[in-house]
Amino acid sequence: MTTFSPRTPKLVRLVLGVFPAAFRTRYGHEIWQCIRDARRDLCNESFLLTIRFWIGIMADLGRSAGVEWCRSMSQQSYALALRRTAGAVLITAAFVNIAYDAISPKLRMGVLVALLTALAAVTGGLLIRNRPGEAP
Amino acid sequence: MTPKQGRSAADSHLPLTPATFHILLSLFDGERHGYAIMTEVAERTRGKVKLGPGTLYTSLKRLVENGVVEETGEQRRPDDDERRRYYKLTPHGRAVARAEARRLEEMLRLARTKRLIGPQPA
Repeated sequence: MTTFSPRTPKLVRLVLGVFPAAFRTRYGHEIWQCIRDARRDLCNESFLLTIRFWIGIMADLGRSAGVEWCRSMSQQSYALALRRTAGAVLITAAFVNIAYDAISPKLRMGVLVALLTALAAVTGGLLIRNRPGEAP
Repeated sequence: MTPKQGRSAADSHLPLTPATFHILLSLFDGERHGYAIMTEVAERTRGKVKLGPGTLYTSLKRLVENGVVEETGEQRRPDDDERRRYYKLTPHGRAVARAEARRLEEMLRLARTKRLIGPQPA
């Protein structure tokens, strides 16, 4: 869990907030621990070095957040493509089965096949539909 | 897994980024927490390489996902007032670090044959 204490500087909280939620939840606290340790080791340094330290930290966090977003988006879109392909296959299979049964009246589908067809259609529909917050 | 299979599995991670290789070198001696990795890298390279916390943890995340590094859980050392998560190399991670070192050695050998740099010191 990410539990930033109220003493965490607002700027750090803001920059950590830019990371993807999963990354922030897992590593946010550890990153803050590192920044705090580094800041403590720097305590006797000059004002200019302190400013340089914070600029370096912010630049590093900003760059890393960008990299992490790119990685998580590419993973997400791959999973999304896989999910939608599976959904499309299931719906197609259901339609093909219905069409086949309609064309060949002698081979009426049994209860089990009808249930499987309906299940495939519903599952396919659930896999294909957009989830909240998901790009169409 | 045969040694040959192990080597090819390790080779599939190459080439490593300099930051990643420094993290693996740091963990080669034993388990460390994030800030200990950062300070060890800075000390070993005499301040030439300074890993930022963002770079460190995005690299560690990828290394953990690929089974190169594993978490050993949270610990509290006597000289520390806070629990910290420690990381260590897996056997596969050691193979990856060795494979990268061999790759760099080969690059260096090629540079020497081209007289890009001087001969190896005795």
